[in-house]
Amino acid sequence: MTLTPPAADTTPAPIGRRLVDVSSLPKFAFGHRDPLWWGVWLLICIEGTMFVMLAASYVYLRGNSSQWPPAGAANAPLAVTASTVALLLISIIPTAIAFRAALDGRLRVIQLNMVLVTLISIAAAGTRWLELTSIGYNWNSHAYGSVVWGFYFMHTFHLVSGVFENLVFTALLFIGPVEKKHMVDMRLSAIYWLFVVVAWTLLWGLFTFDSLLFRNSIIS
Amino acid sequence: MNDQELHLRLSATWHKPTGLWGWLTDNHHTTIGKRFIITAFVFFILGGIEALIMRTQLALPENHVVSNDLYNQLFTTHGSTMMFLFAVPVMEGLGLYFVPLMIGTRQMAFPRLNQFAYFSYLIGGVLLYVGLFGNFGPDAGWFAYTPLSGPEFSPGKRVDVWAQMITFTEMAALGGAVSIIATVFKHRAPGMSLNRMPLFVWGQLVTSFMIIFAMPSVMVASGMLATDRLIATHFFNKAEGGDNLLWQHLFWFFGHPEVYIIFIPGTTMMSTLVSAFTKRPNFGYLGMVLSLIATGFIGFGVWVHHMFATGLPQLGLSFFTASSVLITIPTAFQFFSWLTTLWHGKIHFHSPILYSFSFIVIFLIGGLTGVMLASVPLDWQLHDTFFVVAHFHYVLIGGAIFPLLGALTYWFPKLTGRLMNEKLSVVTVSLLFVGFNVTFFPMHQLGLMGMPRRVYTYLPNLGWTNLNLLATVGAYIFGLGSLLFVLNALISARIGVIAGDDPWGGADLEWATASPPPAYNFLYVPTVRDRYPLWSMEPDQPLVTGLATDRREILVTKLMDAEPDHLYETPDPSISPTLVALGAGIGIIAAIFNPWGVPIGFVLAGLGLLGWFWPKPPHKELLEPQP
Amino acid sequence: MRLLFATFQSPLHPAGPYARAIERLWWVFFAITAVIYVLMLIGFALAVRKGARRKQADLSDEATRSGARFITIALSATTVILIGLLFTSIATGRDISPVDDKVTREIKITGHQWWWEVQYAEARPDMIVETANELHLPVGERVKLILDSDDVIHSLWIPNLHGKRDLIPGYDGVLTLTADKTGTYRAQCAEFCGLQHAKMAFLVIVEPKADFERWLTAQRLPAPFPKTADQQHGQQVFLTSTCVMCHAIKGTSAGARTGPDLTHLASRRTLGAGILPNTLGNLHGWIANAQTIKPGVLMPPNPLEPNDLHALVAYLETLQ
Repeated sequence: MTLTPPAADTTPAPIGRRLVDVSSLPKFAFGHRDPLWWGVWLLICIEGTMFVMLAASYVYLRGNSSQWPPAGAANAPLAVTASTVALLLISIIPTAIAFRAALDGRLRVIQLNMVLVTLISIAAAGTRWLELTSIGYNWNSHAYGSVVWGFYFMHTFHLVSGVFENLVFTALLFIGPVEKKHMVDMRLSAIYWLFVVVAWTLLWGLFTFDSLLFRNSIIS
Repeated sequence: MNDQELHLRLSATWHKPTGLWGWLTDNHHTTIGKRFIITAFVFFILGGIEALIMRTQLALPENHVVSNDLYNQLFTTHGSTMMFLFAVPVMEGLGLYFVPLMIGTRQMAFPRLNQFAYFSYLIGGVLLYVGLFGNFGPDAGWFAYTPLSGPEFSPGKRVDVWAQMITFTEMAALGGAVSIIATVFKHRAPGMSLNRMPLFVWGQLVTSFMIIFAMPSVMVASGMLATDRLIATHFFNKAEGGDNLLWQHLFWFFGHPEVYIIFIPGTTMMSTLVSAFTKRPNFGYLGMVLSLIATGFIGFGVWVHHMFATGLPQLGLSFFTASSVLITIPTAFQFFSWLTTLWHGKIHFHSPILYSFSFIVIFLIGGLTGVMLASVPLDWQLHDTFFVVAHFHYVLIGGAIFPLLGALTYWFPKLTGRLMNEKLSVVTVSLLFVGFNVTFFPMHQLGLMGMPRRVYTYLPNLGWTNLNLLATVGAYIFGLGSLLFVLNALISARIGVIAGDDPWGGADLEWATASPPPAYNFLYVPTVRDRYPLWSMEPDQPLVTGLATDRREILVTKLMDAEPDHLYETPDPSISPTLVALGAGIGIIAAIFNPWGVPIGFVLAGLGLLGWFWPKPPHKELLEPQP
Repeated sequence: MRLLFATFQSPLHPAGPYARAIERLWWVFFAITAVIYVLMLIGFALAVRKGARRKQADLSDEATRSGARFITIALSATTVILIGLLFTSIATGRDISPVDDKVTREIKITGHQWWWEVQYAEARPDMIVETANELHLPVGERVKLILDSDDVIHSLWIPNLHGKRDLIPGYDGVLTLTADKTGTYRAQCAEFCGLQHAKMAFLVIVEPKADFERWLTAQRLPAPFPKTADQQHGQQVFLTSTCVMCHAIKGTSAGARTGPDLTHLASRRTLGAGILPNTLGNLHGWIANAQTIKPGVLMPPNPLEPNDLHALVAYLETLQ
């Protein structure tokens, strides 16, 4: 900290006091130095806890049932559900590249990869639609249906928000003007998208590989 | 530029918009915090009136003041109001108001989130009372056990009102919690390392983390309940593979931490008052902080003690007995620390410290009966009786309301610039103390005489009449005390003695600025060298300069040691957060009647969010496209 | 102190070993916490007196050391006491958990909004005794209660005999009980269950084994055929009005199970789930309009002609 005369539009120095002049500090910072980074992670904690509670409800209900899933409860075809997961997982690659590129502000790289992320996320929303229309039971068929539809509802909500966020963000990257501090937002948006991907991969794994995860299950 | 010019410039930049538009757009933490506190007190009065009606009904056996139908709505609304619309919001409101002042910053981290939180809270609260006044108030208890609250046994819209009120208030609490954590971590004045934070701020931090991990559970649960009722899902329908104990687990996984979410701020207000009126730092600062953190953690491991009578396996019950007993230890530490501080301090007898004394006498009983209730066999006898009603009022009123009122008396000059009338305050605290004990002490005995909770009446030959009558008399004394507090606040805010910046010789940074604080909080952001900064302030303590005066710039410091790190601009007033709350509100309320409300609310809120996050015209530092 | 608390619906007036074990535990907890409370208040009063008399706060290192010493000792004492209480509690908990050996009788209790169905299990279906809002127990025998609910969650709480146990639909709760003192004890639903949670009580009648067996035998009999013309008219009223939609009387064609079984109605001591003495006048009032006595009760008002009502009551009075 040095005693430099402050710029005209900043807090001036009072007379006769020791000072800490902060006018030369950077205007943004990456990672945990940034308040918004905390905001995003706390949001992920909140929503992650909601997913965990839903998953815990699934396990609890399963433990109290004689047959789980109930006879005749057909999930959406594995090929469809797996393609959603695959698309989501593939989207990690361009997300990660854009995440890196944001550190030193390589706009072209970011733009290209964000376009990729957006397209893949739209494709994932498309296969999600196919999933939803091919589930062989309804939310009011049985508790299993309720909780799996609960997974779908909660996650589709996040997926749609994520697609929306990716779209707006990518558009803004092209419309500009792009500021350096937007790179911070870029990285936060990527973190959130990764959360959307990971959350579904785990939930999907839970109900798709149910019989492998829970050995005591009664197979009809 | 001298101080006067600086004041003018900062005032213009941090200008608080006025009028209706201002009310809808302002996001100053002081504005939002004060609003939370005042709104919470309105609900406190409403909840108190409900309590008085219930006590009047129970004064005599087979009384006919209210019908059983209305009584059930009243006790449900009373509980929901006091937990969701009063205790949590008022504690968070104090946090929103005082945390930035106590850590020496000009604004919270996410002011628009706070603004959204407030309106979300307001809509939720109004919804509940529209329900009550329209005779469709919830009537299945604040805990809404299924299947009683389910579609079969609670047809109509009453329980839906409750479930959606939960959604609103939890969004509000979560928003505030995120904002408080980020503020505490990143906005502290240079030099205020984590181990120099005021205990009140530590309490807010721990509480906020508890909110983050506890509230999602009840949101999931109330969401499931709403869909069970609206679109016939089967989460709690035994016939289709659902389970009623699932509700209880999800609810109490939130419900017990909720108690600590209310109680922890209470204990840290105690610490603030004890140290302020003994002119002595709290004993065992590190231990106090660890106690708060330990309480926060163990608070998540005790929920099953609400379910001892459901018939869960013995071994599991013993575990929860142990954790429920263990959680006493951190609180005991705090108790011993306060006693030690009182012993070694010089006590100045002003009304706030009288509230703390009441805390000690009252809360201790609640804590000790809590140890009794942690015991499975005793709980089997005492659970769901008036003994429990006595217990948790001793805990929550003794442990949170008394310190809250003391802290409000203490901080009143900072909030309004004037002191509360001291004589009236002494009368108030005496009435509250006597009224409280006359109301709730007899309830222990009523419980031991077999009187269950949540009954709208009782038979004359059971021997419960005299004690009930006594409790009712006490309730009116307590009501009078509460009324006096509110009157005192209203009158003193207008004609009270002018307080000046620091009427009590306080230790923390909120006293280092004017009362009430200017819109920019501090003319110069202070620096800190100790835990009790104003008691150890050196004449040449450095001040921070170089913050922008033409935009709302904040100094962000490092997480652990609060070294200056970077500058960060907080947003201007905007209508968007209010619109998001409104949009979500329309959707959530519509969802009571039609499931399409959910996507509608989603879209409306999404549009609001666009305005919320739309980038402002850039100031500088454009990113050049790379070749 | 005991006298202060004692009533016929109180955990501090035990009439069996389970409630007695809990009562003992209560007094242990009560004594220890009371002593702690008094000690803490004395400490608090001394601290306030000391702090009030000082000229200024003591910030010396000596004060810090003595404060730390006090906190360490007090906290250790607290921890030791708490652990002691914890183990005492767990030991009592083991003594009072449900057991299967030496159980002489199984009784199924089903909660309904807002009354209690009581069924004495027997191997032969025709020997099963069904009653409502009254639990008869032989003194000194260990019985096993199977607890279930037909609608919402209720909680069975006979404070003089044992702690409470919830009746959760779909879960069979189990409670074992022994009553070792004859007498009548009152019990009341302890889990909020809707409009008439307040008026969902029942009586537990603990009697000598011979009396109990006599009662049980009487309860197994079907209803006697009405003798007088008035009573016969009353039976016709019963069988041709809405009564039969919900109630059963064994020995007649009434077999509905929505409301309490009335086969031995007149032998019971209360009406409306433990809220009214079973007298002629009360029975009149209850049948005519139970809603005024217990608003929200699922029994609708019965606008019968006065002479029909009299005859009906006269018939019901024969159901000993």
